[in-house]
Amino acid sequence: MSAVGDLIGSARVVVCCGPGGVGKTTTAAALGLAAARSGRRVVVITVDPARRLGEALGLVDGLGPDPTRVDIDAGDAGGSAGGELWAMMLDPEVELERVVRSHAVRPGQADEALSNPFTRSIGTSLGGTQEYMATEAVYRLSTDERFDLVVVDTPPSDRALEVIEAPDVLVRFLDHQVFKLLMGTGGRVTRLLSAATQPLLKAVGRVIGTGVLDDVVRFLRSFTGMEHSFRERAVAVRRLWRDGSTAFVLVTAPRPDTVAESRRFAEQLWSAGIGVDLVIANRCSPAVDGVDVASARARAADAEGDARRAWEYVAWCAEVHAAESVVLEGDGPTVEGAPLVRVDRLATDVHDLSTLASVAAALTS
Amino acid sequence: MLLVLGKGGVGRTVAAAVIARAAAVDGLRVLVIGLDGRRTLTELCRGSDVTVRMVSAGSALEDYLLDQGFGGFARRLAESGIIEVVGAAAPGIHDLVVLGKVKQFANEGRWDLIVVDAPAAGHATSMLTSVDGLLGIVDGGPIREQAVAVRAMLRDPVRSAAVLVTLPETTPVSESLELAAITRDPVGVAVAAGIVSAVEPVLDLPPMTALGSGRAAKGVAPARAALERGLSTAEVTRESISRFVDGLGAPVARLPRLPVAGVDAEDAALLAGILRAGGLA
Repeated sequence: MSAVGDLIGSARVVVCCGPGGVGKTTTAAALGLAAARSGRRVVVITVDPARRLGEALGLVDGLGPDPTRVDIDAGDAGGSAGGELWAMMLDPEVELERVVRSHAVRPGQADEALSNPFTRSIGTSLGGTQEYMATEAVYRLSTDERFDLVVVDTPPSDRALEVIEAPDVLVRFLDHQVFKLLMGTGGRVTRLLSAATQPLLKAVGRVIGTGVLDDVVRFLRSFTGMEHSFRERAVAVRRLWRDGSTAFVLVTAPRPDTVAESRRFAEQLWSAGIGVDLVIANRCSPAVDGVDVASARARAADAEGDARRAWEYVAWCAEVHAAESVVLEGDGPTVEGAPLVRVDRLATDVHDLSTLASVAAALTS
Repeated sequence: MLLVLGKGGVGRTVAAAVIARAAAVDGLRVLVIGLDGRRTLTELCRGSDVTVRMVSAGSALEDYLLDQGFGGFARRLAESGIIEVVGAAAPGIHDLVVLGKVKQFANEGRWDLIVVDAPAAGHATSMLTSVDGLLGIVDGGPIREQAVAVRAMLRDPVRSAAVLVTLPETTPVSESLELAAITRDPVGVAVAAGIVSAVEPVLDLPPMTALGSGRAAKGVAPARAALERGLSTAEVTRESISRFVDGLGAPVARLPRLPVAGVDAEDAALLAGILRAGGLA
């Protein structure tokens, strides 16, 4: 069986990550489709603000915050062998509401927290919140009995790391003195600290206006009592990312800067205690078998008119392929212990289920 | 100031460097600003008269606090972690200080042209709309003044304009046109031009062009396959470019895909020459 086939046949969670513009979303959808066709019940979740997944899956109405079943028997996508494919898009606002409701410790608390004008803007625009909501959603899906595989499409690498680290950031924030100060917990020690830090708050008020600060304090206080439950969840998510049944697929492209960024990202993941299981070099230019640049150029020189232009084009293709091979084979995006799978670029881009099926076939061949 | 916008992977950074280099060759004093912290931009501008600066949210915020007279306080603020809370208090504040820094460069008067390599699409629009969002939340103080000034700069078609970059493919063109619409409204930045990057040599050949026979038949079958692929790519390319040209409502230049894996400074200089000549025919 192929490296990709092995991976999607056994993992519980597959995280597709890598630099922007390498085709992560399409790869995630294609992996999901391949797994569903091999009989697994798969849900693909995209956390990327770019909303391409629905299009690639042929869902005309786009994706919602709840998993939608994709009809994988449609068109020439191939048989499903009892598998199912579902897809959803992260909606940070909806997810925030779910999180708040599930963590609330007293009646009415969720409504109170959600009615704060601040809560809405925080779910959509606060840096880090979206990433945290993504981890919550992935965790929820991984414990959902309807699915036996969750495929995650992450934002470009620098932001993807924020998704992975979101639980740790939350725990750090909950433990932070400033948070405790604003929450008004911690008794005498905090009050002492509070005296010391008051000028800080005043300064902050001067910068952003005191009204905003009051809103924040009210916002944070409406969450009182939920910290414990948030912390427990953060620990569980942290464990999930590092679980043996969670696989990380690094998607890259045969370009030097992209490969360099992928290597850096793999190193950052490694320092976070996460290993890459598979590297996919996406959208490679196909080889012209048995024809190299020099021979194609020689043929062009010997020919005339249309034939000459045709051979010049063939030489161009061979040249691009050779240049990409140097990038992939030289220093390469290779990660120790992770197989490298090359996927050729399609002549048309992926916009429906049958073109997606071609990608799935290329991935698993 | 030119904002170069596009989804990740469409060649946005290359386009920003090529525009900057082309303008520098024309004798303009050009500053190009990178917002994503990658070194690519610096490498692509090597050997030209273009000045490259990187602006990051963290350093911009510290600079901003220093400018506001918070002095050594800025460091303490950063260390206390309260910056994060400020960020939470006023979502978009990081984006605002970054744009504020760009505005500061614009006001220096040292530059004839400032090219900004914006972050990838989704992130760029949230960055640009965050100024409005911030104005809805912050009731007063220097941040509000800053937001008002940045918004005025973005919305002044004399001072600011956007260049939309796309690949000659179906989905990227659709996304780029959506991005252009958002750039005009609600962001309010005028769209000055479009760039189609990485255009493959467009084949305009009969599909059954004779490639050789007899002794010359060697390699013909794979060459034929490459040719057929090229022809279907050319079809998508033509269709995508004409849709982009029709939909953008601004002049569009085309830049070729060079037969290399990655564009380097030399390639960027070559592309700048092509851009100065108006792009590919």
